[in-house]
Amino acid sequence: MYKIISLLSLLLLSACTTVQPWDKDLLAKPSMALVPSEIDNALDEHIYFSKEASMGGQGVGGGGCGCN
Amino acid sequence: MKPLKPIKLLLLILVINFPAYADYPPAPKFQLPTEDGILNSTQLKGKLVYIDFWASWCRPCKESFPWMIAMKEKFKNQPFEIIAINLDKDKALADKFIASQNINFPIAFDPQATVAEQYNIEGMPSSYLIDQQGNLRIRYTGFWNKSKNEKEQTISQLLKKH
Repeated sequence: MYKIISLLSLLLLSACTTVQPWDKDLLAKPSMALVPSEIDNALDEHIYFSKEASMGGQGVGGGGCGCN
Repeated sequence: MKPLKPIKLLLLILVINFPAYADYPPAPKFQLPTEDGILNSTQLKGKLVYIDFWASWCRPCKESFPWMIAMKEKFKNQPFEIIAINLDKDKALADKFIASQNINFPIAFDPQATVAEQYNIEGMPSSYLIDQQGNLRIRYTGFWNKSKNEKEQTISQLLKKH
């Protein structure tokens, strides 16, 4: 049973693929940004900081171009 | 015969293999549509060619256009050509950007990215300098203001060498 599950899991790895630079047009849309609204994000960060006494740790650097 | 010391052997291997580093690979040939008909890369032989892969959704690509326009203007009396290959799937988006610029070099369209794949581009924009013999000299990925002068010097040097 475990062998079957392991084999099926391996099949799922085929879904891992590299997005080619020229196919990143959808990723470059503003609505696809990790932080679509700076103001919303600043407010959320403020609330999070007030509640948890810690901040940051979200988002990643770089844009959709793959050039940074 | 006395065996060579490892360092001497390494130097000997490097010297023997040195010519291999001096060789540049030939640039992949292409044929792409432009607004003025089909552009064939073989027409560009004998010229230093700067090929730029770009798309309208890529901000650094758009930022590189004023520099490319300035370079074409600066080296207009020399055998230097700039070809900007657009990779937009929707040509209307590219046309909108093209209309906003005073572009003085040909724009080719590669919506299927077949040529981009041949050139094995890693990011946007990707640029290549192809020398007068049709060999790939330098690859640039991305566009930074800080590297503009260095690129200009390289173009100037390669034009002088010919």
